[in-house]
Parts: sequence; C-alpha cells; structure tokens
Amino acid sequence: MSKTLIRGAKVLGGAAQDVLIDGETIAEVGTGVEAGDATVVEAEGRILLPGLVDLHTHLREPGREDSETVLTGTRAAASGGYTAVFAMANTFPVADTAGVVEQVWRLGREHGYCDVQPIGAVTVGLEGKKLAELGAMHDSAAAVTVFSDDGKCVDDAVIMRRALEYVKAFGGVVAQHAQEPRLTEGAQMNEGVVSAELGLGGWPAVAEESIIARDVLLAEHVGSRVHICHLSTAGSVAIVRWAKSRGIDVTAEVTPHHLLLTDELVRSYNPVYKVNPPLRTERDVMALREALADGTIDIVATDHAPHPHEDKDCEWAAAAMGMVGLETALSVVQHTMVDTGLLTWEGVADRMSHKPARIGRAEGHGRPVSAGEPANLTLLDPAYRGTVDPAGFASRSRNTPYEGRELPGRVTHTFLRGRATLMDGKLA
Amino acid sequence: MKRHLISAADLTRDDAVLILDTAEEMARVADRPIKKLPTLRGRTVVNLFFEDSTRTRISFEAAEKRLSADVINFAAKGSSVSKGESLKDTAQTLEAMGVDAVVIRHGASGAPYRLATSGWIDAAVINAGDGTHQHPTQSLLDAFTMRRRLVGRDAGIGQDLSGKRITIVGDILHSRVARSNVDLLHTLGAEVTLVAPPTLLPVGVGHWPCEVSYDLDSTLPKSDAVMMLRVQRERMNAAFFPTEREYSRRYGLDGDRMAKMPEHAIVMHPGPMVRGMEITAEVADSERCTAIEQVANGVHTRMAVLYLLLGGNEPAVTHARTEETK
Amino acid sequence: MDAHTSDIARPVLEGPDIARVLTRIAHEIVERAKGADDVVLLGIPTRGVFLADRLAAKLAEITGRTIPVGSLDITMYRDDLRLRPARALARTDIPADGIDGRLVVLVDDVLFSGRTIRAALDALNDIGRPRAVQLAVLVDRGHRELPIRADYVGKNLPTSLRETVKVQLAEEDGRDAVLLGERREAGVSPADGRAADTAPAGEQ
Repeated sequence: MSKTLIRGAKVLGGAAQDVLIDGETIAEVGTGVEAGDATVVEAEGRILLPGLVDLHTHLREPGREDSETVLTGTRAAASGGYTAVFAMANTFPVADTAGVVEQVWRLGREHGYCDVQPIGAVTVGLEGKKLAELGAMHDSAAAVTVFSDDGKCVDDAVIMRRALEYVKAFGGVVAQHAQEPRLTEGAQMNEGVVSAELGLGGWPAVAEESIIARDVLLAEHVGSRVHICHLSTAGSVAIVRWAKSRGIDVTAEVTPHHLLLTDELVRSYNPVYKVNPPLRTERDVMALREALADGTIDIVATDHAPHPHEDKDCEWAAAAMGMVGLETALSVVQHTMVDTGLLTWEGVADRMSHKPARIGRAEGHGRPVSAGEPANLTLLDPAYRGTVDPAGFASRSRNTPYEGRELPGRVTHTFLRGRATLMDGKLA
Repeated sequence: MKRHLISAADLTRDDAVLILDTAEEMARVADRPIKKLPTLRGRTVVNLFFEDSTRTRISFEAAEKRLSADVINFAAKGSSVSKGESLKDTAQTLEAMGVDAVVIRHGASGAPYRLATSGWIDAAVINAGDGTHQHPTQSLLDAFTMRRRLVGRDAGIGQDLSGKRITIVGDILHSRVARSNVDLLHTLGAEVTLVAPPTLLPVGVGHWPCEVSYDLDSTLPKSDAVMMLRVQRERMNAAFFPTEREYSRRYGLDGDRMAKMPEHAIVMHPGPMVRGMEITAEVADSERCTAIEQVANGVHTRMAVLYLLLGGNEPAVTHARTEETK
Repeated sequence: MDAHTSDIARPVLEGPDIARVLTRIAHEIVERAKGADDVVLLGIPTRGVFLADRLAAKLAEITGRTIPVGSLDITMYRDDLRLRPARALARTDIPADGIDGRLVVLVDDVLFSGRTIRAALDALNDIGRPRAVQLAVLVDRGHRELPIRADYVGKNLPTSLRETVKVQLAEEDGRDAVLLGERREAGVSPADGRAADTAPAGEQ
C-alpha cells in the first residue's frame, strides 16, 4: 500500500497540519506526523480541501467526442481539483436509458482520473413530453440519483410535477434548467441595456425566475426536493431565498462565470462569452456572490460545456452556447469569493465539495478531512498568480472566457482515493 | 475616421460632417455627363450579401462603380455558404483574391464586427446592415437627406443637425435603421423621439440618447422630420400588435396626421414601404415624402464613405473619439 | 497658417504686384482669345478659385460682359492619392452653360511639377469637351515633372527644391503676398491641406 504525507497544509484554510494518506484512506491528521516510507508533499502555505465535486459537467461522450470525452473531461476535472463530476444527460444518444448511463459510468471508472456520476434525462430524448425510465437508471450500476434535461427546460408543469413526485421513491432529485421557452425564442444574450444596443435577441431574467417560482411551489405542493441549475439572476436569488424561508426543499447552484462576468463583455461579439443562461449584469453578479456567501445558493457548479473551435470562431448567432470551466473554477471562486472576504476556505469546501456531494448522494465524496475518511483531497496554492492559457488545458476544448485574464490560485495536487491524479500540477 | 464602418456610433461629429460634405460633392458627379471618377481604380470591393437586399446592394454597387473600383458581387444564397461554409472561410477566400474592402450584409447582429476584429482578414469592412444591430450608411443617407431639406444644400456644408427634431416611428425593436439613426442623429446634435407601441421598443431603450413616446399625434407637431419604419405583417402573428388595422390607426401616417406636422417638415422612409400599414399612398406620394430622394442620396453617401475609407493610404483624418482597436 | 516658414519667408510679390499681374493676365486673355467671347474660367481650389474670381472681375471690366467662372477640384484625379490619408474634397462648380466648345482657362496659384494640371485635364475630360484649354498661374516656380506649360504667367520665379513658395490671398489668408522661404526639414507639408502642385517632397 502506498503512503503519502502532505506536510504542513492548512486544512480547510485553518492551522497547518500534516495529513497522512495510507492506501485509499486518510490515516492520520495532526502535527509532527512521521513520514516513515511515505512520499512527502511539502505543502507549506497551501490549502487542503476535500476533493471538489461538480454537480454539472458536460463530458460530451457519447456523441460529441470532437469536443470532449470522458477521458479528457475527467483529466480536466483532476487538473481543476475535482474528484467527482456529474455528467449531464444531453449526449448523443441522450442518457435516458440504463444502457447509456452505465456506459458513461464505466468509462469514468476505467480512466480513473475522477469519479463520473451520470445524470439521467428527465424525459425521453430531452423532449419534455414523456418521462424517461428514471427508476431503471437509478437501479442500474450507475445508480443515478440526479435527473435533468439540462440544456432544455422541463417546461410542462405536469411533467415537472410527476418527475418531482416519482423520484421520491428512490431519493432522487430533479435538477431544473430554468428557462421558459416561449420567452426565450431567438434569445442570444441577457435582455437589457446591452442587448438593446447590440441588436441581439434578449433572454429576459423573468424567463428563469418564472420557472423557478413555479418549480419551488410544485416541490412544496408534492413534498419533493428540487435543484435549480445555474441560477443567474438577482430575482432568482430572491425567489430561492423566499422558498427556503418557507421550508421548501430547494437547492441551487451558481456557475463560476456568473460570479465574475457580465453582459458588457458581449459588446465584443466574441462568442466565447455566449452561454446559457447568459451573462447578466453587475447587479446580478453581486447578488449571486452574496447568495452563495449566505447559503441561499448552496453550491458552485461549473456547467463545463466544451465546444470545438469552429463552433466559437464564427458570428455570434451561429456560435454554440457554453464555456469550459473545470480547470478555472477554483481560481474564479477564490478571486470572487475568498479574496473578496465573502467566503472562507471552509466555506469553499462546503460549496464545492460537501454540499454538491450531499445533493447528488455521491458516496465517499465531500467528506471531512479526518482520519478514516476516503482520501479524496485537493491541494492548492492560493498565492499563485498567473494568466489563463487555454493551450495548457487538459480539456479537449479551449472555449474559456478567461483567456489572458489573471486569476489567483492553482491546484497542485488532487488525490482520488489516495492516488494522485494530479501531482505538482501534472496529471498522472 | 476608423478603418472600418461598423456602427454609426463609431463616427464622431467631425467624421459625420465630413462624410455628408463629401457626399454633397459626390452628388455633383451625378449631374455630369460622365458619372464616373477614377479615384478607386485598381481597388477591389466585394459586396458580400448573406441576406437578400437588392436595393442596398445595387446602391453600393453603383457607388463603387462610379468610383471606378472593381466590384465583385457575392450573394450567399446558392453559394458554398449555403452548403455550410463559414463566414470566416468565405471572407478569407475572398481576401485571397485580393479584396481591399468588404461590404457585408448579414442576418446576424455583430457579423461585420466579428469580420473586422477577429483577425480573419485585413480588408476594410463596411457594414451594409447586420441583423437588428446597425445600418450605418442608411443613417448617413438619412442625415444627408435631412440636412439638405432642413438646412439647405449649400447652407448645410460644414453643418450638423443641431436642434432639429426627428421622430422615428414603427418597429424600433427589430430595426437596425432606428439604432443607427439614434446614434448618428444624436452625434449630429438632433433631438430624436422614438414612437412605437411598447411591444416594439426594446427593453433598455431608456438608456438610448433619445426620447420615447407611445403617442404619435402629440409628437407630430414638434417634428422637423418624421421617419416611418417598415412594419412587417408577420409581427402581428407574434402578438406585437393585434391587427394591421389597429396598428395603422394608432401608428400609421395618413394625410390627416401629416397635416399636423409643421409646414416645412418632411416624411422619410428607408423603404421598402408597406402602403396601407405604416404609411398611406397619399403620404408616400406627396411632395413631402423623401423616400425616392433617399435612394438617390444613398449612392452619394456610399461614394463618400468608400472614398474616405479607401481613397488614400489610410482613412481620412478627423479627430478620433476613441483609439482604433486593432 | 504656415508658422514653420513665415519667420524665414520673404515676400517676392506684394498686394499691388499681384493686382497688377492679374490685370496683365486678363488683358492677355482678351487678346489671345480674341475678345474672350467663349472663355470659361475654372479655378483650382483653394487659391486658384479666388484668382479665377478676380480674373473674371477684371475681364468683365475690360469686356463689359459677365465671364462664366467656376471651380474644379482635382483631388479625386490626383496620382498620389495612395500616398496619404484620404483628403477632404473641395467644391467643383461648373458654370451652368458647361464647357463644351468653350475656351477653358484653368487658373491656379503656383505651377510646380505639373501634376495638378495633369489631374485637372483628366477631370475636365469627364465634364465636357472644351474647344481648347489654357492655363493661367500666378507663379511658375519651375521643376516640371510633366510636359506642361502655362499660357499666362504672373511671375516666373526660379527656385531651388529646398525653397518653398507660398501664395497668400486676402480671401483665405487676410492679405495678398507671394512668399519665398527655405524648407526647414524634409517632409514638412504645407498647412493648407491641398498641397497643390505636388513635387517630390510635397512642397510648393
């Protein structure tokens, strides 16, 4: 059994401690731990977090292996400090059967960079008409617990109600992509001052907020839990805050890009900023940060959405929506939440590991950093400063909105069940 | 002036006045037996039209030919573009053939901006209308027409449109003409009022440098020029307004309404007109309607733009509002 | 307006001299054109236009008739367009009866390389077909680069290429004078924007 001693890391940003990994588990946490025959990682000044968990990743396999595969996507995840990712269902074919979800789950296992937990489609073919075999997906080897038509909204209120009710039988959760389809026909960017000037079709905040309002009321009515994907507006924050105050079992996620970027960037017409839901205003960004800090928003999820170069190297309207995010997420969160004093590293561990693992029921992930726990760990250097260079990404795609931007922090090591998937910034 | 003409908002007052003054000189060429200048000999201009627009295309073509440029017309329909070739590939293919300037019409807002700023090509880019974004040469020909009619052909030289009250009526939401005109007319010192049903005004219009009104009748007596925009019948189906009849009753310009305008005021229309919808035949055919004049002025104005962008080793020098972004 | 030469430029013609040579040129035109019945004067902007107006007035005095006068901007016919940023245009104003079958007298301030006149001849070609074209200039400073000569010259002024010749007219400059100066440094262009008869360094 291999041993690793992480020496002098600030566990969850607290006091410096030594963490000894023995095999797949954490053997000891304390000071002055003897290295013995263990490999030593000198970690003075670094932060040790539980391995990050992403509840919202697009791995693209099967179907769009030109933009990402389970292998390249999980390598990107390991680079970004993740030990578990939830793979969205909008693949080709759609992950709406036990067969497809098991395939994705197995590929993740084989590659070994990061646990891959497939998300099942709520409806057949993401068409919003007929429930997919949710139970069969749950019962499969992949043990699906999160269901989402992400990319599309489950807009039919009856289908949404039934899905919320049905997954209660096995503790599942529906993750809603909140987008009222009629209000967003031809939508290209946030509807507001900038869209009016640029002549790009508007994606109004109300199209998100009206669905969230409906779904929290449905969840309350049928006594189910509901998860809101990539919440992006100040109004959505207010609705979720209200719902939680009423005791409704709702959780919500925010993406790193919605914590940092605004629709002003669209003035460049550079499709690297084209994403769904769209970049909003400064006011929304500030509301989202505040909500993540006070717990109204439960987690950060990347909505890592790889696209090939040609789908972004074109005019805005023709471009695909989405941004890669796994390899920059922690830096953006440090920049927007930690360095601004809104969130401690303990808070980061909560929003990026504990809570997403709990929402998705990811066994062995999001655990405390203490003896006897699975050794899923992320070590980062918060003092690092560098500019984002997509050429160095492990992801197959390069569609990052941060190219050339200076961001703080760098993940140096990632351990998945005791094995280093990332060592000194290099993938195993 | 900047190297490209993408948006009317890129023009300073001095740029705009220079273009209008130059257009007046170009207009004189139209009165000569030989309507041709050697100025752009040996320069190649491609008219890259991804959207059908015969009137804009032939206006540019006439302007280019009067300046002796070599003209290549490229209509995307039926070409490799309709088979999936990208804007980038098309533009690079054309540039490889030695094109000095690209006049582009595209259905996607921002396509000309992308073409000019993405490093795909070196040629100058002139926006001939992109999506619902901008149509800068249309706003220039409109301003030219206004200056001639409201200030005077000779008296207007060197002048802007300070204090002129311009009303733009119709489908502002989907109109690149309205956006360009608001920007340019504001730069030229005019006071612009937009009139439309609330459904046809964009969210965010409150930040534009103009007034907004839902009531045409109260605006007309305070207008030196009233520009009627085309309203497509299809908008009715998307619930922007209930019926054609109701639209014209509230926002159409007929003879009775025209009588409320000051005597000197003109009626403008960028064309094509939907008679019976936003404008009645009586108004369209009246002396006060400049629609046909605008077409003629389009050629002069586009000649001026082409000359000032391509006539030297770099664009004409006027004071810059912002540094050109490479 | 040309601060860079004014301190070292000296006048070679003053106001009264300019008036006198214009009178002489007017008489020469009447004489050579046998009464100037069909003469049309076209000034080349900027200062050629003022000179043409002054000549027209003198011709009217002599002949008792109104002489058609206009302006001919040659900017778009220049052979050096590509060497500089695009230039603002000046007014072209052809008298109502046109130039077909007429004797067109082109009027300019300084004759130098001859390139301006070459451009003017091209421009005329697109406007009509005169019976004949003649050229009147206030100053001929030599250094021709094309086979062009003036029919009426106010003053022949032999110069070196190092020298500058600047014509000032009351309409534009507040006073009448022809100034001869030294060029301070290579590549300094005259401040009037038209840079009339462009010689190698773009000086008059």
